[in-house]
Amino acid sequence: MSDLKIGCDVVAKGLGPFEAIAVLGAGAYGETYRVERGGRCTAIKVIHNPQIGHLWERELEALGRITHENVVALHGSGSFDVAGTTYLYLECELVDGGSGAERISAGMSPSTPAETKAMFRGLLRGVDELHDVGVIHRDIKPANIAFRGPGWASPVILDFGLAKVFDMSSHTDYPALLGTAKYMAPEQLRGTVARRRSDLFSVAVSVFELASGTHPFVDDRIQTPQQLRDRIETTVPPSLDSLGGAVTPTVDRILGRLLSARAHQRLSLDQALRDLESDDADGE
Amino acid sequence: MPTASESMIVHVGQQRDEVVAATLAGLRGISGLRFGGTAFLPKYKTSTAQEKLDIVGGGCDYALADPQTERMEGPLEKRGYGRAHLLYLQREDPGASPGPFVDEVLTAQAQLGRHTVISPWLTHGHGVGQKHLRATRRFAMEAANHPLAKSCELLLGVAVAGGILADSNALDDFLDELVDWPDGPIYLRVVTSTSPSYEQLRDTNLLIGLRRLVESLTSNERIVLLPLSGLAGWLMMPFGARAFGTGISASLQRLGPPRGGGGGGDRLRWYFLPELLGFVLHDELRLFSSLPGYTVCGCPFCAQLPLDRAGGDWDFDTAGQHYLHCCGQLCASLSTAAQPRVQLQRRLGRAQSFWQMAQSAGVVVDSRSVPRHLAAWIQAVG
Repeated sequence: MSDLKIGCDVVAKGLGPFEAIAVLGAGAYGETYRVERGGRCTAIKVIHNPQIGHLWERELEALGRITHENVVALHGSGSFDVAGTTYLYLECELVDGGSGAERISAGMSPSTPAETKAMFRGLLRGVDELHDVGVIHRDIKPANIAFRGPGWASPVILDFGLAKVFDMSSHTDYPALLGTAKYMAPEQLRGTVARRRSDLFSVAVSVFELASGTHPFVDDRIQTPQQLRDRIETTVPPSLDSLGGAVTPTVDRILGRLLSARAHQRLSLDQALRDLESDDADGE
Repeated sequence: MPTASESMIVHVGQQRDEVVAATLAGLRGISGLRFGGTAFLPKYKTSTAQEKLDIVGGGCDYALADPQTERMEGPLEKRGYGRAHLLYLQREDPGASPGPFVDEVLTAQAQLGRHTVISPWLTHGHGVGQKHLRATRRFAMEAANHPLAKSCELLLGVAVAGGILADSNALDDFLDELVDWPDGPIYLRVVTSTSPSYEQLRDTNLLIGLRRLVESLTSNERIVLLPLSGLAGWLMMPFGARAFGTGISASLQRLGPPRGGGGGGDRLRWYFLPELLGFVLHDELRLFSSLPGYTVCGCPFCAQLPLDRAGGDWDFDTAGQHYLHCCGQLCASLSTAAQPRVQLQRRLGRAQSFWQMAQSAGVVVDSRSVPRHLAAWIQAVG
């Protein structure tokens, strides 16, 4: 983590003292730290652009009211100044089972259809909770999914609502495909407004990749968001089962519907959850 | 409630109260038919609107006060002379203050005793880009959070130009938007003015688009009501439309925008011929009545004033009552059918065969009476 823009010292000066602080990750817009204070460990995300803070005030207010096992708990948010620079931060629950991106990198995947289904259901329930308070996540991806414990049954959605502040120009300016764009719905890749069903598309891509280690649309020939959008709009993704994923036919079918290029062709969240319930009832 | 099961929505216009009451009484005699009624809120002063809704409410399963908010697309002076009591019509730009505007629209309906209220709309396809659609979405969201949405059934009002439905990409964009709206049934007005009102709609692309719209919304668990859609809306019932609407006067019979009265010319003496699912000129009935498959109409209105007899008299209101009665029978035939799509296809097939038989028999009619719509309808529902 030598290319940190903020660093542990700045965070400790601004928000400390801490008993311990360590870097958890760094992205284009901020850095996340694991801190220990008063015997409690939390995650602090620090963003180095105070100009954008007002853009998600409403979301933060809404998210502060959420208590749900599949959405990371928000403990607080605000800003601090160090050496004349203002930083924004969010302090959240620390989820201990690692992120989905880490598990994909480690070659891990659910070993039974029941585990895949539980992960899928947990993510849908988390998204349902976000949508209920009026928040569209816009950036669901394996890096923004963590797990409680070593299993797959308790996924937790992180980094909610922040992507609203970064329009598509932030992504398309990059010559190569950015990690975030890989999980975006085609309507987001077109630069139009993200909808609730955009989150469902991103959940489906994430579950597909977590369960199979393979992205449903991206291969070596896809280099740009435009190419990815064309691929999504002109091809039908393979079934998860055909790639060796541990999955029931029902879950495969639901994923297929949620990966539809057009939002109206995707299942609604309620319908997807109902279909998962019926899969349980069928004993699969 | 309009969403409970399949029904027909009778649009009540300027007809005399006794005509409306008789029309509704006739419809009540149709086995298996469920029907409601609407009156246009901005057409009348409060007391008249209340009287019309009372008559409708007394004779129908439900009664709606249609707020006709597409009037907001026009200049203030054309939104309704003498309608100062309707506060929402006085707003310069409803999109600029959606909360108060929606409150005024819903409150105006509730004050007339409506238990089902309709959120306002601007016509998608009539404004610049998606401006009207975005405004309508905002209205729907405001309405979903309005206190009346808790005590009344809320229908989400939407209006769309026919051209949007006929364009596959534009329709996809429209559908993507609609499925993301707050939960609730959709009260969908389709507006087209491409052909005269006495003709049935025969734009195949539009009809196919309308079918796709209804099917997609239904598969997304949306109830779809098609007020003022005429028999084009009836065609959509097997594909999921919960209701279609039509009225006595010609301008209320299909997708065309309602127009004011007047004009000064002689009224076209048309007659709805169920065998063709369309209108013919009254004088032409004698050409059809001798053909096999022609049935003397048994509706109570034709019985009083035998419009269906060759050389019989003709009356505007009675012709409209006969048409509505036929629509009620058509509605009931689909809503009670075990296989509505098959039933519809058979019905269209019979109409096509009847016309072919007429042609074989040398029947020549005015070009306005040629049922050009049948080919388009058969293609759209095929």
